[in-house]
Amino acid sequence: MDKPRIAIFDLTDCEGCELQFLGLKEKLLDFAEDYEIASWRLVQPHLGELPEIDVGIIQGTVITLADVEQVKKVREKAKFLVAIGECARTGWIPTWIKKENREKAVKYVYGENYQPQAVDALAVKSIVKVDLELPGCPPEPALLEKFLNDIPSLLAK
Amino acid sequence: MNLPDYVTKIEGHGVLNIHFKECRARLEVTEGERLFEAVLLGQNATRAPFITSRICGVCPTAHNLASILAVENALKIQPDEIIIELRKLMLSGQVIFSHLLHLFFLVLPDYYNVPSALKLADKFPAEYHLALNLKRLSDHLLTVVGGRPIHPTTTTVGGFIKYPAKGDLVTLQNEITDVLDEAADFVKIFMSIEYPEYRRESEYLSLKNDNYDLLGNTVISSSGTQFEPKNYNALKEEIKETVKDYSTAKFGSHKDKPFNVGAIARISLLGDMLNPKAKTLAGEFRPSSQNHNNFENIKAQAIEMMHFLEEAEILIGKLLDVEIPEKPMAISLPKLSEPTWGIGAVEAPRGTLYHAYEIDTNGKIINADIVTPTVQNLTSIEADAEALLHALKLDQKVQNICVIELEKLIRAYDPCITCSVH
Repeated sequence: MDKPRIAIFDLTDCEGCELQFLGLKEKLLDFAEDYEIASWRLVQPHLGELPEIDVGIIQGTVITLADVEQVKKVREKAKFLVAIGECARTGWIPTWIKKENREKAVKYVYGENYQPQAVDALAVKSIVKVDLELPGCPPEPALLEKFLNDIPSLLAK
Repeated sequence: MNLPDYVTKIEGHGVLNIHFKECRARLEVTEGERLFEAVLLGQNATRAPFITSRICGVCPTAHNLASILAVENALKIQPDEIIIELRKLMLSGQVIFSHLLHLFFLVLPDYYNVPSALKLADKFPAEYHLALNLKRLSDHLLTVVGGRPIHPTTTTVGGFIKYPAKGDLVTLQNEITDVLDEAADFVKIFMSIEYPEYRRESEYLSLKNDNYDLLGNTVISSSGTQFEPKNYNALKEEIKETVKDYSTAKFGSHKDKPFNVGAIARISLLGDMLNPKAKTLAGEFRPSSQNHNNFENIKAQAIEMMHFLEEAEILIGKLLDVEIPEKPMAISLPKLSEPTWGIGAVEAPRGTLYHAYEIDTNGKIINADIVTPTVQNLTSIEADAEALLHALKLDQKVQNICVIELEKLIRAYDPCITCSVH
């Protein structure tokens, strides 16, 4: 079997979840050997159009239309979709502002004449089917390590 | 010409828009609005540190502590020496954690001609080994004092819910001693890199204290002026944030002009107070706001890595000399007799971070204003991009090279787009 092809995506978030991968240190290097990383904006440049991938890893809250498109695209390209961290899993802190109060909140932060990018604050599963969720704010590196180790068996199912 | 996609290898989502003919550059921040200031409204003030650390995964400790300081300032709570020293230790760890991430994972690939830090390991195993040792150390420091590296768990308004064990502090001190020589080699890598050349006049701002330790009650400027940020009106008078139609982040200015905060400003303003090994490594290097070149921020961060390793060693030494109670004292929070503003300011890795809250008599937040370092730097990023475009002597044929150099410039700022759209 070829190397499994994985990709890591961040929606609107603090990026703490993806930094936890760096917390794996030497082990992250081993994973970078075992798997092909097709996309990871934080640490590598764009490699062009996203190819078909085995595992798509998403962190962050769905807040902008670009986030919605991103999630749909990843679902289309990925055999297995994982939501990591509370923002991807539940929407987390940004959902504490209800949709009907967003306009008022935007005015409070940005003033009267500002056109926001954000439309709502949603969990990934409210847009597309999610195959696995890894909880935590942020998830512990050990949990991420276990998941990375499990990828071949998850794909074999 | 637009860069069609995100500027990769920075924290958060930004697009650089360059108009070559007019020599103009715009950094369009496209991160979705997260509205943290609105989220805080109506919340019990003691919850703010938990919530606001989640503004940023790269500098959560800085947000957490600035938030705590803001609430303590409103409630007039004076923490004791042990608490202050533990906080300085956490902030030292925070700066090491964040600078290391930037220098090694985001900057080095630019100058070593590799596409990503994950590919550095093959060509530069020694440097990779160094970086991972420093990563291990900063993770451990933030875990011993703060509970974990990302989103601290031990801190609270008034102090800590758990103090570190002395045995853990001793281990930590030994680890720092062991890594100092390697860290010096790491710093030298960044001091010897040749960076693109351009100059312009800017202004540097930083908090000032008796030591170079990331806390302080006064903001000093390279212009010679200063102000007290704990006066909310003074803060708003000095640091203005402007909403732009092309960015979800506001743009900061000081007296209506672009200015710089962060390592470059601190080394320039506080360089006399560097610890010995950092001072030796810095040598003649001292950034000047009159001759500003933001690539010097990379060198400044490298010097600060050493300075804060030494600072952490000193702080642990002080903490080992005093009796640390097994359990922190319970703090009863005073009630306010009228709505009161509290301001907390710390030097975060990228510069001065302000949290300002107005708290009512029930202890709830009724107004919140958070001013992040990257927002303060954004106006300067555009000014520097334009200065660099001029210096590169534009030619249609070299547009691609310009784009690469401008991306490097933006990365040299270590912008935290995530923080800027809080």
